[in-house]
Amino acid sequence: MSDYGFARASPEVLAARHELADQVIRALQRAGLPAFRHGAPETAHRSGAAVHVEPDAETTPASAPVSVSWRCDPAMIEAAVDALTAGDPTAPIVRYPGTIGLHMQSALIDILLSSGVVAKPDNDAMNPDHVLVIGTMSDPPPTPAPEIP
Amino acid sequence: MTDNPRFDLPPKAPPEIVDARQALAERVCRELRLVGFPVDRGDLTGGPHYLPGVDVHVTPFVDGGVYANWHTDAELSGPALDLFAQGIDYANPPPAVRHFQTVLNQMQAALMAILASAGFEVEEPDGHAHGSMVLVTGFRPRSARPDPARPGKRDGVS
Repeated sequence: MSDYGFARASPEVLAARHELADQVIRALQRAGLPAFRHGAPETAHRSGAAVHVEPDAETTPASAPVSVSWRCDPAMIEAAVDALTAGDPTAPIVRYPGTIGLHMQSALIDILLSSGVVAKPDNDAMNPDHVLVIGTMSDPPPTPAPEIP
Repeated sequence: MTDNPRFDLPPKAPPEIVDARQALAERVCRELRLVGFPVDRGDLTGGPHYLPGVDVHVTPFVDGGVYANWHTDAELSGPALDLFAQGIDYANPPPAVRHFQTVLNQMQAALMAILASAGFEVEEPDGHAHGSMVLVTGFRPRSARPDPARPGKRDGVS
């Protein structure tokens, strides 16, 4: 249990998710894209595909064991934040990182699917440009096939 | 014209056109670095180097322009290009070639969409571009869009 009452995933489940995240990073790097683990201090200022491992036991329809989002250069994010803090939420630069995120979302999904990783767009209104990674195509199906006598 | 007819070189564009292409190429590089891509100006540094990420180059010919290409890691392109050189069944390419082509198609679509939303005029090049992915023909400055490459010089903000 975490401090907030959410059950954390077991070490075995987390290990499997980390392995899936590594597979995602390798597939994207082979495609030529910068890809790295989200949340590690040494990657805080990197741009590219940030790969996040879900620490909670439960995954909802809006979450997945692993998720991916595109992170623009810090200078781009800074310019967007500057426009926001200057009181101009309608400035095009505010929306621009999200626009790039959506363009990259479809590329990331198709590249992952083609590498044997099952990925889909996030349905969550909070993160419409995120990519949810469910597993790999060599994983066993979630429900066992009926036994044939 | 400085063309040497014996070598049948395509005619070169006037220097001011080539200069304008260089300036446009630099703007493309700046924008794509802000997006978060690794960017190489291979033509200025003795390339192409086939580094993973975007290669931006300018050709000096009349039928030329500013081109952007995506390069995968050699781990992906090497085996795919080897198979390709050996000859493949185009109707049913081997998985390594199919995956390589999927990556290139996806990155071409992403580059075109991203450059277009940044205000660049882009088109898919014809066969003369030797397989290049994206031809950038111009930039329409949007007065409403601040240039994140030059923070503090936002248009419309005094």
